[in-house]
Amino acid sequence: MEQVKAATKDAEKNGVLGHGLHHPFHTMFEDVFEDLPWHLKEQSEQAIRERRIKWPEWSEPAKEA
Amino acid sequence: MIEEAPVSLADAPTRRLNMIEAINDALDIMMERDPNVVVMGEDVGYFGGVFRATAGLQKKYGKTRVFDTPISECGIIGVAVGMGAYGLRPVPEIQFADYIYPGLDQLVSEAARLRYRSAGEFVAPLTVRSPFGGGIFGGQTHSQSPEALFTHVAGLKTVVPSTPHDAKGLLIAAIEDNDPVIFFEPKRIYNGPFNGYYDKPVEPWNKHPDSVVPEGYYSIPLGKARIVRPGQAFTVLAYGTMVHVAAAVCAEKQVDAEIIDLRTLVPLDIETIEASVEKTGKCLIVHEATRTGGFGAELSALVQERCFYHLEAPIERVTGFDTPYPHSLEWAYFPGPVRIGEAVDRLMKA
Repeated sequence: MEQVKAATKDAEKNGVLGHGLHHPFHTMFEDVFEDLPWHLKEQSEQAIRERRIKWPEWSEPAKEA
Repeated sequence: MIEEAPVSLADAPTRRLNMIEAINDALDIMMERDPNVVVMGEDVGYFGGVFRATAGLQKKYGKTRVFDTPISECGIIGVAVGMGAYGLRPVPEIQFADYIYPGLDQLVSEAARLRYRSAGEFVAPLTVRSPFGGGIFGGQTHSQSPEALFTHVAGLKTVVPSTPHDAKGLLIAAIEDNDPVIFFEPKRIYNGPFNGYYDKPVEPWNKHPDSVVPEGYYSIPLGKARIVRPGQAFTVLAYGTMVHVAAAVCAEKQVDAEIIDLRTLVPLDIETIEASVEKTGKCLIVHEATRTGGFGAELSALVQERCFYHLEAPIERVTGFDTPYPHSLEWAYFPGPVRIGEAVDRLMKA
């Protein structure tokens, strides 16, 4: 039981739904296709712009900065 | 079918219901009025539905009229088509809109075309109820909004209610309709209207004026939109959950927008749309579904074709992104207050 609890806590360090957004936003658009078409590039940029407005305190991974 | 004049809504006694209770009430009333109405689907019988929309119906009407089916959406729809052709009025439930795809062939190739193919000899008077949309941390298999797949199909009607009052009246109208109706229920607002601020407490329906639902039978005609709020600054075209989100953003920004809840996507209330856009000269379209080929594209084309000389700004279209519904990034995907707010700002500056 203790092992399960420890594993749960460890996993939750990556983020818990409802407690904020933990994954880089650009990952939302990856793997829809092998390559990113123009409209998903535009939407990815929009998502990152929205993130800066909604969560200005969120640290920016190098790829999104 | 019991023939009786509908009660006057102004005189009818009312009670406050959430959307689930309103849908349950509509099903109960129609099963009482018409012995040909049957309810079927996964867990709808003994359990009363995963969202409780069919709770108590099997106990009241028996296992031949409210029954559980195997986990086979193709089978559920196919059986319903056959039942409808032979005089019943089936109301199959697809547990989540995300599960409707195995039934797509029966809907597109059979239900939608039966009247046309048989020159009116056979019809498919089924109402396919299905919870749809996101905002419940359901991930990619419990959050999708596939309405555009169905609005594209000739012969299917598509309905999306946004309040308990409308859910009951529209569902009754859908069940009475002699053509197949896809009735998408925005599950994010089953228990209360949602303004897009997921990190704030949710208001229950009992504080909302549209939770006041007349008792007994009434129907809301398919193809008639509702003006949620009259205004002059621009027209908002939305349906389902996004009616509430768009209204909240416009209220927050204190803009005098005319907000139209489409209620029915097919047939569409084009007269109300045209009159509004001709008055305001600007149009904002909001839906939760993915953008490319979404119903917003159809709306945008119609407004451009019919209201071009009245438009004072480019039509704005706010939608979900063109990705599968992301689990952990749900609120980055959802067309919430920031995305809608930017579009509102652009329209107000135009």
